[in-house]
Formats: sequence, C-alpha cells, structure tokens
Amino acid sequence: MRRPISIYLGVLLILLRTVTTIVTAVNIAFEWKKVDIALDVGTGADAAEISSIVFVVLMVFFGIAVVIDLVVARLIFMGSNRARFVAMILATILVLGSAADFFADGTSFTLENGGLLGLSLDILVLVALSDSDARDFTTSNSNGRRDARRSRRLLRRSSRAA
Amino acid sequence: MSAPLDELEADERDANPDAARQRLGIVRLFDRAFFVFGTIATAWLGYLLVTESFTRGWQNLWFILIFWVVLAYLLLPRIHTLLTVIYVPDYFIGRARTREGLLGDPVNLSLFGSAEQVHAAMVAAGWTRADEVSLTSAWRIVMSTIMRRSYSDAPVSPLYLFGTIQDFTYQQEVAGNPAQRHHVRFWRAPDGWLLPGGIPTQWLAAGTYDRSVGLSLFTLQVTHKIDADTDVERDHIVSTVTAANPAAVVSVIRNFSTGYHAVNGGGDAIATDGDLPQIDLRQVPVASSAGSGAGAGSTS
Repeated sequence: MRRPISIYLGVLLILLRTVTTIVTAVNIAFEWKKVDIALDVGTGADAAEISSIVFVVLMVFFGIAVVIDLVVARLIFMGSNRARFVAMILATILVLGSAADFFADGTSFTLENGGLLGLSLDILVLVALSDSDARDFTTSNSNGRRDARRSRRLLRRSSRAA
Repeated sequence: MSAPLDELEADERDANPDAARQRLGIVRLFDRAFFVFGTIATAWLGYLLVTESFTRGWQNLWFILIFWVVLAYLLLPRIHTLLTVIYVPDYFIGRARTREGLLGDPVNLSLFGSAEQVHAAMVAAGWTRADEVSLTSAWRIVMSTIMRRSYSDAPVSPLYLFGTIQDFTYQQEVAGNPAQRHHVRFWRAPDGWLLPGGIPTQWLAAGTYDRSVGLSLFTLQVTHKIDADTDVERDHIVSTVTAANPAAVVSVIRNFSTGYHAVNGGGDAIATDGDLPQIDLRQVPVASSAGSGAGAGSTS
C-alpha cells in the first residue's frame, strides 16, 4: 500500500515537535543563569552543585524526548502500528495536560508565549495519525511484512523437505 | 461491521480467525476513541484560535485564515465523518460518497467490458486520464497555478462507491479555463453485483461537469461546483464514446433514478431525468498500445 499523506503529515509534525524541543532546550541552556527554580532543600545545600545536577537531568530529559520522537517517527514511516499508537498516546497525554493547565489553572495559550504552537502540534499529530488512511496503512503494512516472513519460512521448509 | 479476513495477519488468520478478528476489532475501537478525542481537541484548538484572533484585533486578520483552515480541513470533515456513519446508508443508492461520507455525485452510467476496453474507448473518444492524488500531482497543481500553465491531467477529488475510491478518472479540459472541466469517475462493480431491479453491470461511472470553483456548503473547503443538469454531461460522455467507438452498444434503463432533486457532497443542486445508459464495450478492440496512452494501470 502506498504511504498516505496523513502518514507524511504525522511524521513531519513529530519532527517539527522535535525541533521545538531542541530549540527550547538550547534556549534553557543559554539562559540557565537566569532560570529561577525554587527548591526546598534546606540551607546547608550547595546551590551551585544542585543547579548543575538539575541542569544535567533536564538536558537528559530533553535528549530522551528527542530520541523517542525520532525513533517513533521513523517506525511510523516504516508502517509500525504500535509506534502509531505510542505517538497517539503521548500526544493525548500532552493535550490532556495542556487542557488541565487551561481549565484548572487558567494558563493561556497564545502565539507570544509559544503555548499555542506546541499545543497545535500535539493536536495535529493526533489528528493526522488517527486518520483512517493512516490506520489502514499501518495495519496493512505490518501484515505485509508478516506475510513476507511467513512465505520465506514456508519456502525454507519446503526446500529442506525437497 | 465485521472486518474482512484478508486484512488480518496471516499467521493468526490461519491459526485462530476469531481471535484475530477480535484483535483487529480492538485496534479499531481504540482508533475510534483517538479519532473522537482528536475531534474534541480540534474543536478546542478552534476556540483558542478564535479568542486569539479577537485579542489580536484587525491588524492580524490573517489569523482568521488559519482558523478557517483548521475549521474546513480538520474539524468539519471529522464531525461529518462521525455523523454520516450514523445517518447515511452504507449501501448503493445511486450516489457516490465523499471521504467524509456525505452524498456525492450521482452514478449516471453503467458499462460492460474489461479495464483495457474502457481505457481504449475513453482515450479514443478524446478523454485523458486524471493523475492519482499524490505528492507529485499536488506539487504539479501548485506549480501550474503559479506559472499559469495548463495541467490537463490534474487529479480529481476522491469519491467512494462500494466503500472504495474510484478506480480511475477521465477528464476533458475546457480550453483556457482551469475552473471548468468534464470529468467522469469509474468504479468496478463487485463480481456478480446487480443494480436495483436485478440488472447486471460491470462498471459504474459518475460523470459531472465542473462549472466553477467555490466553497463547499458542508465543509467550507475550496472545491469545484458542478453543473446542476448532470444529464448533459452524461449524454456528452455517451455521445463522444459511441462516436469514436463504432463497436460500442448503448441501451438505456429508463427512469432508473427518476426524481433526484438533491445536492451533492459540496452542496450543489442536482437534477436528472433518471435514465441510466448502459454502454457495452465488450466488442471494442484493444490495441496493444491503447492502455499506455492513458498512463500506467492502477496496481494499488
């Protein structure tokens, strides 16, 4: 089956989200001195040491997010139905999180603070990947591979028998 | 609706068809849940875009355009998809359906013959085959619009009959006017399938004339508006095909769909006398090169 446009769009949107993640990480890295984090760790703690630990943890977190996105995008492009579900579940969690922020805490999503862009990307990923074309592509494709594997196995068995 | 067996994974299909079908059913159930949630999320996005555009004021009117794109190409089609599953019958009613399940162009031709004979007859009658919708053809549409060049094989929008997209489409350009064109979509009828009244057929076709570009009534998308009198286009197809193919035999089923006074998937009015011509192309000779002029045969 030919790759439908919704698969191209879904993968493209996940890659765009990866780009925004990287831009956010780079921004935080450059502005780290100005980032203000309140932690209740008592007075004896070494502020500089904790700061660097938090920084490393944060960067590792961003790194993992980018790697997951890239792997999932790659697998969806190859026709994996499981990867499509992983991406849809992640997008759903992110959208629900944004919705909780919006309805409970009154967080605003505008172009200026970048919230609208991130939220749009999450929703569009969900929309593209839950399209029936995308579903048909990933379900039929994994069947195709399974069928190929099966016929190879049968071929081997028959050649052994001969 | 039970899933066709050939969509299931081969190993499971052989070992345990019931379990395999159940598994596919679960996948579909989750898919539908994500689809519904995606629709709700899109509605929320639409709301956010509207409030954002209001706070931005008149200087940023372009923002309304983004809202329209989300509304027309994401939200409304999805709402229609969810609703038409409920209220539009999923059997043959003489109409093709759009991707969203809305009623589309009327089926107004029936044909007999092999795919090669249909291709040969249409090419001989001066029709050209429309390209499939793909990234390549989308790019060509953009370029031909910008460069003001003609793109005579531009793809047509997908319409569905028997649950499948049209097998192929033929069209005739109207000189110097990209907004107008003749076009006819073809679907192969399932083997042994009969028209209402028990009349056999092999191909069904829907021919309509695009008269202008406008907005769809149901989805607000940019689309071609079709000419209301679909009989004119039907008769045009029959006359061009019979003039170029002496071996074609035409019979007419009178009053097949008398009394269509309806709108198509874009909200255009349709009127017809209800006659269904049947073109028998089984005697049309197929030259070895006839199919190649019409582009590659569909292998999907």
